[in-house]
Amino acid sequence: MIQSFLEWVQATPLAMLVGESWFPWVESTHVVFLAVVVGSILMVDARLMGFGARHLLFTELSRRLLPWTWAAFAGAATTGGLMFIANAVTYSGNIPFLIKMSLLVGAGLNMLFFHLITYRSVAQWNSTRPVLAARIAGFVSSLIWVSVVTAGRWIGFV
Amino acid sequence: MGVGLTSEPLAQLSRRYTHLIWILLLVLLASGGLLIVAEPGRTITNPVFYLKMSLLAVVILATLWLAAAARRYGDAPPGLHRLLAGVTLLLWIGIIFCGRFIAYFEST
Repeated sequence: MIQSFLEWVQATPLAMLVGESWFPWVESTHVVFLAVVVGSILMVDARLMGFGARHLLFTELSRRLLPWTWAAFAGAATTGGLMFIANAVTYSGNIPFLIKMSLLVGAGLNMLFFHLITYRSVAQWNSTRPVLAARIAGFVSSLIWVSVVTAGRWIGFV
Repeated sequence: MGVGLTSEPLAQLSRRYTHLIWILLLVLLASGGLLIVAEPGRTITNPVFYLKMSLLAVVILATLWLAAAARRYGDAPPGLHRLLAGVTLLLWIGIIFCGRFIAYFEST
């Protein structure tokens, strides 16, 4: 059933259009958006790990940067979705693609855990080196996002 | 440009990130150089590659200028520099876009 849905998606006029002519533009735009997503996330992660921006309150840094992250993520997800529908059947069986999607879920879970649990003690480490749980969250996040980019680039090589 | 981390003095922000730009740019130049050496035909006749390199040359000059200026002023950069900052942002977007587009442009 999933297979026939993917075949249907791939045959829609929009998917055909992306596959036949928009693809290079959509993919290049995707790379611009992902640079903003990963760049801004790494800045926040570095602060979480206790490296950069130590004299900035963590809440200030994240409040200023994360709206850009989310806006760019929306753009990356849209352009990524357009690329997916152009070759839905192939991508759904592409190992690096599946790894990338799993890593994105992992990044989301890491963020959720940080936000719901570790972030509650932010007042204690807002202006200093964060607690161990926060440093781990930053480390895991940067590792995952670098892997997302790597897996994403690999989709085209298999 | 007056957006982003405005609660922090620009000189301090610049001190933290500017050296990272140059270190990572060297890494990119080295890995990019390897890609060219490995498959020269893909790039050396490709106009998009030359467009990317030209934009990069301009952005390096503009960044050198802005980084030197950022050490001097406190909170409010002059209008010219804000404009130049906007231009470098657009240039970087163009560089990233061209970089990915090289693969799709038929070189003659």
